[in-house]
Amino acid sequence: MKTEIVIRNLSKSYGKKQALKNVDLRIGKGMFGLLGRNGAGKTTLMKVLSTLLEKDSGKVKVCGIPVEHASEIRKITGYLPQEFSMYPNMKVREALDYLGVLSGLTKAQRRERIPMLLERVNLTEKAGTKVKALSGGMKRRLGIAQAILHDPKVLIVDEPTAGLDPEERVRFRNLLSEIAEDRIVILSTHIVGDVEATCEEIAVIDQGRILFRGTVEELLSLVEGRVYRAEVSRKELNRIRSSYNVTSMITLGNNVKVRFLADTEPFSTAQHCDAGVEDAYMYLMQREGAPLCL
Amino acid sequence: MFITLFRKECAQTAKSLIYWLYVACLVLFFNSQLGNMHILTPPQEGQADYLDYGYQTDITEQDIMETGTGSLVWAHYYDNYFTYPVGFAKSVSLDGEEKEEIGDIIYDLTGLKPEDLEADIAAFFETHDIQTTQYEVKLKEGLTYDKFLSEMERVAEILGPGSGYTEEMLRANVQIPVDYEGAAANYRDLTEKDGLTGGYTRLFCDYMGVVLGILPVFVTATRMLRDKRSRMQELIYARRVPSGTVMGSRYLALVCMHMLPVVVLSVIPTVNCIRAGIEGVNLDYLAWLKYDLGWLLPMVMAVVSVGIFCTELTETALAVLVQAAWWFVSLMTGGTSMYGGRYGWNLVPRHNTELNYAGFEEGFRQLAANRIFYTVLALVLLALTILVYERKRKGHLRRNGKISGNHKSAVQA
Repeated sequence: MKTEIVIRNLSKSYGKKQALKNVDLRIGKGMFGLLGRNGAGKTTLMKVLSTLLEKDSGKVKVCGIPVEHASEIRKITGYLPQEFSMYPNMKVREALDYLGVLSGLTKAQRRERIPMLLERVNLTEKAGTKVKALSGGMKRRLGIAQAILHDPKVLIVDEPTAGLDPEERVRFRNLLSEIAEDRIVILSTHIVGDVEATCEEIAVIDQGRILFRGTVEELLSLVEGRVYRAEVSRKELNRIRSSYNVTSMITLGNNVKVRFLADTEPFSTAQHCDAGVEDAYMYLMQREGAPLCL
Repeated sequence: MFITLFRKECAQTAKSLIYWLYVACLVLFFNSQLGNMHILTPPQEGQADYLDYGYQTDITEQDIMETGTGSLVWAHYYDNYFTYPVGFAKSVSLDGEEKEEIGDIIYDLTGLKPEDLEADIAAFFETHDIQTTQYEVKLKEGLTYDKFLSEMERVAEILGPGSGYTEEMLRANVQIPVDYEGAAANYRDLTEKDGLTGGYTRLFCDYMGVVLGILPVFVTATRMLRDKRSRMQELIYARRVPSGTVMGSRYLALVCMHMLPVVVLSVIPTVNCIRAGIEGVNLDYLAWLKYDLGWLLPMVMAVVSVGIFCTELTETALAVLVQAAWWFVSLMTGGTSMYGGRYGWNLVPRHNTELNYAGFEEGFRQLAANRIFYTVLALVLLALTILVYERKRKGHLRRNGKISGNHKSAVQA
């Protein structure tokens, strides 16, 4: 059984709103980032892969198994939903044990895996703590533990770092990277930094369509030589914003340090700089005609 | 997997506050109704009365006419009319014309004019105990049952909905205490055919049925909504466990946990019978088990199944409203057959006496059909719940608390 997800011509609508439009993707072992703004179709795609939504058309195979075979797919996938929570009054160990039973693990398997996973997500000391007493970061780590409880070949993680402080975010990303060594981990997020820090392969999705599919380097190559920075007065800022795709701004007194995209050298004081994933993402969005935020 | 899940569901229920409130309600209700259970001893010839030994069941049309007319005369004399439109007593004030019409009806039925009523009532209670006897009035000679019913129909019209003067209510309101022979016969049935414990356990079922017809829906709806409140639904949906196992184990756990305190309490009447130490009685030591399983279990199964089905379908507490309505209608319907024997298709069959074995025996086939029907209904609702759950696992029928249509938030896209 090849560890691979193949998606062909996948479409899904909610009434008149088409959430996914003819999506084609092939995802192999390792960390895969699915990047897109809120409402782009990421969660819909994650749910189709986790059998929590039925597709309208197209073909989806997870490790060779058609997604229609929900019970088979559920054996090999782990899912951490966007709004993750558990029974608040259950203790951490009890909650994992309950979900372990639902995953079909025997008592012996649960006894072996739960302490191991708690250690892996650094929650051993919290095993006897009630879920409601955990911090946001701990809950997300518990979420990962429950998702890999049955040692799935595919782990689907939907917006896992939203709301986490920087330290927890880094810890969480490292944890995902470790887990991805021997399985597919799909990280769906609108936070560019998460993808940049962890994923070898990414896809950018917007309005239900895949705008880009490739490696991080390939994404960066789209904006190679197109990223500039300059320090300009506040008066000049409006002109720059109307002429260029601004990807970041820092206010310094009466001046503004601005980073922007331009196809040709814009003006003499602008300096060329290295491209980042965020620049490439903004470029991609602009190229596809999606409205930009800055 | 099923057994392990069942055990975990039982543990979850046992840890919930609402479950212990349910247990507390059961215990309090049991204590209030059966806390001082008095075990009957054999009736003695010549004792003051036989009120504890039941009522006559072979009621004649004459009994209905005498008691019904007596009740009307009493209400008219004291100008104290009541109806029970939704089960609760409502005082009715009549205008002068209506009172006059009732007076005319009384005259047609008894030949008594309004000024004669006081003397007749006083004369009756000179020879009868006012605390224990219903006032009965002498009827006009030649009064037929049809004529009586048509007059009472008019009384019911004047008083409005919920009047006690419909034929059904008139019949239900006749309670004529047995005499010594009747008391001895009832007691013989209780001890010989019912093994003493049977009668008391049936009385236990009658009382507990009143609360079991509604309380389990609260625990069930709370358990079912806990997944939504704790946002556990998707975590469970994405697991390999079959929908039948999730819902089946949850249902079985809820039914068992609801029955557990009932079973414990149901042993008390049997213990009381044993402690009474009445000689010559062959006690049925397993009556509690038979009645728990045959009488109360189908009711609990039905109420829990309404709870899981409505809650899973709507993701709201609608089940409580549905069950409350059903329970209320059942209680109102059962109000006319409190003495047992007429069980019909009522969810809460009534048999509010340890006696009347004859009525129980006569209505047994109906009762059995009733209980089988509710067991089947419960299993059908469970099957439908599993279907709904399976559909929801695939993204259908998710309502997020809305009764109409699917809902999808923008962030989900």
